[in-house]
Amino acid sequence: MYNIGRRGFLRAAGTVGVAGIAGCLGDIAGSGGGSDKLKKLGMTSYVRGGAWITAYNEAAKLYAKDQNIQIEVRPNQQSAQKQVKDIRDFANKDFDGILVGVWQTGAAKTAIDYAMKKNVPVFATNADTASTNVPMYTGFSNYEGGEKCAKQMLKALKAQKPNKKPWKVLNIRGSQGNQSANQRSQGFLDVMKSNNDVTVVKTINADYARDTALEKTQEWINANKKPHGIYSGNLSMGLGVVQALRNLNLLFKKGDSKHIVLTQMDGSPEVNPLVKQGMIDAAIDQPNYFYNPIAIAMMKQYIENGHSMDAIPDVDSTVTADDFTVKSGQHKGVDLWSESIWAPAEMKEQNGHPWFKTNSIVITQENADKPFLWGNVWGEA
Amino acid sequence: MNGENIVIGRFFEDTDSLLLSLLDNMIWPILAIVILGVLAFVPQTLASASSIQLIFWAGAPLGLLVLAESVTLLSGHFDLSIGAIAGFSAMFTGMVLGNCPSCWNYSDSALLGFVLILVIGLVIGVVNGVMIAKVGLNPFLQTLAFLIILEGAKTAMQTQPVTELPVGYILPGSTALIAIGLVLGAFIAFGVVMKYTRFGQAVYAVGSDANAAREVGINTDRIIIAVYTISGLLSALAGLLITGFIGIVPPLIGENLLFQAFAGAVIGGVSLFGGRGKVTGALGGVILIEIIQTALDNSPAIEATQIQMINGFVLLIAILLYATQERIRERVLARTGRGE
Repeated sequence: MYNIGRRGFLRAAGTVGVAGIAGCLGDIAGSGGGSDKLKKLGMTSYVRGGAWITAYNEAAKLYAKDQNIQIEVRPNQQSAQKQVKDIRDFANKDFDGILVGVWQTGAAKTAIDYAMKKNVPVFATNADTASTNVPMYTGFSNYEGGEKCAKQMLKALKAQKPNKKPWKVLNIRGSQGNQSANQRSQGFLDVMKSNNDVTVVKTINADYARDTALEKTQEWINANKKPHGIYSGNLSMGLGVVQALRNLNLLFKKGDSKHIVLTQMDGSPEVNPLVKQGMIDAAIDQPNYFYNPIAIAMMKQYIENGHSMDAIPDVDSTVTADDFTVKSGQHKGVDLWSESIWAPAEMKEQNGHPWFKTNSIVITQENADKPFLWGNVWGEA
Repeated sequence: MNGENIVIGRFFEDTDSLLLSLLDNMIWPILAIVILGVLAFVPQTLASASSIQLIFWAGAPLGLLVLAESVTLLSGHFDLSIGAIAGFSAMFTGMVLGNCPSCWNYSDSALLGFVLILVIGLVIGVVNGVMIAKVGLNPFLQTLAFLIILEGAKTAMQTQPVTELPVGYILPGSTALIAIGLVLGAFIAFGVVMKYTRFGQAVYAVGSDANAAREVGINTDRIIIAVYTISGLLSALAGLLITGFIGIVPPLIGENLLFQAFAGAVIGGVSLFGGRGKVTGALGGVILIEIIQTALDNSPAIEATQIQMINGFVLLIAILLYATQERIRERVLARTGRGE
């Protein structure tokens, strides 16, 4: 089982006591009505995004199974409307809680508020909701991911191309309408803007797609001088960029004078070996297979403590691996969740609710083959 | 002909008429069988009034789009831009009324919002109709171009969700009974119009044979423009209901609805070649799609990743049934000498 640390335990114990007294007094305040155990969980998520989303979704199922929680996953079908319907449907049925990977920020707000009003707690993971009522959102910061990629890019440029200033770099970004794409791009651009040695020569919208990134990067390099570095906002676009450089005979390992520095968001079964080989300099990875287990553990805690926010760590606190653990389990040939790569997490407030802001991992040549990277676990499947 | 033969002849005539009528309304027995199947295998889908209400409520925007597509199909045309009209009109109106980084936020009048969204849909519909009827553009190319233009324009205008819309504006879509009532009202109204008015009969006539319709004095251009105008209006109304159901205008609003709208119309028995089918059948098509979708979501035996594939098979089965129905119909008509 997870543990919530001494402070959390005392708070939880107090809550249970208060809840017990309240129970003796009857439902005077008119609150309650929700379950006191987490037995059945509904989840609405994107299911067609490749290996990353498979790891994210499958981890929820594996962890729920370990905890004897029944879980039902519904695809959002890239539609906010479908997601709203599913959240309402879960709330109308006998589900004790709901996990939401929000498809479009703000879109699921009314449905989430409806479920919360019916005492069916909704925890958001990976993508946040605009609802102020959710007890917690779990995810890393896309903006900080972009910043970290920029810093890795600058570090690599300084080390490998000290005499080529001012460096010229390309920014390959995701879809315009996508909140995480905007934040990842902006985080990168803001760091680059603050450095006089580097210029972002072009931001290209590649719609999070490998083929689009391949085509547009190749076209841009054909029409212009080759850049010193390229940043990609997700794994698909990063792999498209690698293929574009391969097609143009510009893909060289780091250490080679012709090497173009590549940094990107996300590791993956394909990305990690490229980092190991030195083709990609660094990738910023999310602890995606922890998001839903963290949310489930917290939700269980929240429900068993009488639907109390006391079960959620305080905003502005730091949660370490000593405060909170996700119980590991043997899955896919590894001891899954044994390495707390999510820690330390910062408790922030976002959209009026707590945000369990996990750490992110910098994948480099040194750690690219470690078993705690999801790409090295789900890649074997 | 002796008396016995007359009786046998009349019997076959009655049987054929019954069969033709059954074929024209095949969606309803299919729907009944599907509902029985759902009650037997995934009973939780229809277990409570709130679950049933949600199926109709969430399906209300699709219902309007199916109706829009059905009317254009009956006229022998089709409209690929319905989802894009819904999305563009909702986004444009949202930017006038709501809040987002680059919203115009001119007004918080719900009434203005209703008028604006419908006028946008109407204007786009008229342009589609005029380009097809008067300029002579192919309906596929014209409406495909508008699909691309409108989705692009929506993204060019706004890439962030539009929030803080007036409560009155989102009311029709956010209130289940209003949304469902609006859609049922629209289907009933168009059912009556298509069956009992000269306009409705003219739409069927144009859909069956435009040249013949012209020769009997029907102003086919006017009918085509009217049909696309109706399609635009209904699509905009669908955009209003989606906005209300979700509570905001998301950047991708209205996308991925086109094929479902076609599926609803075809499953409901509306001919892809025009001139045959009923809008009430299309309503059955919408209900069928929504019930199957919800049952698939509810079924513990089906993985989330399998749902889209199974949806595709359901559509394929419906198309096969439709093709079979067509063949039986042709055979019956040939036998009775009422071939078309």
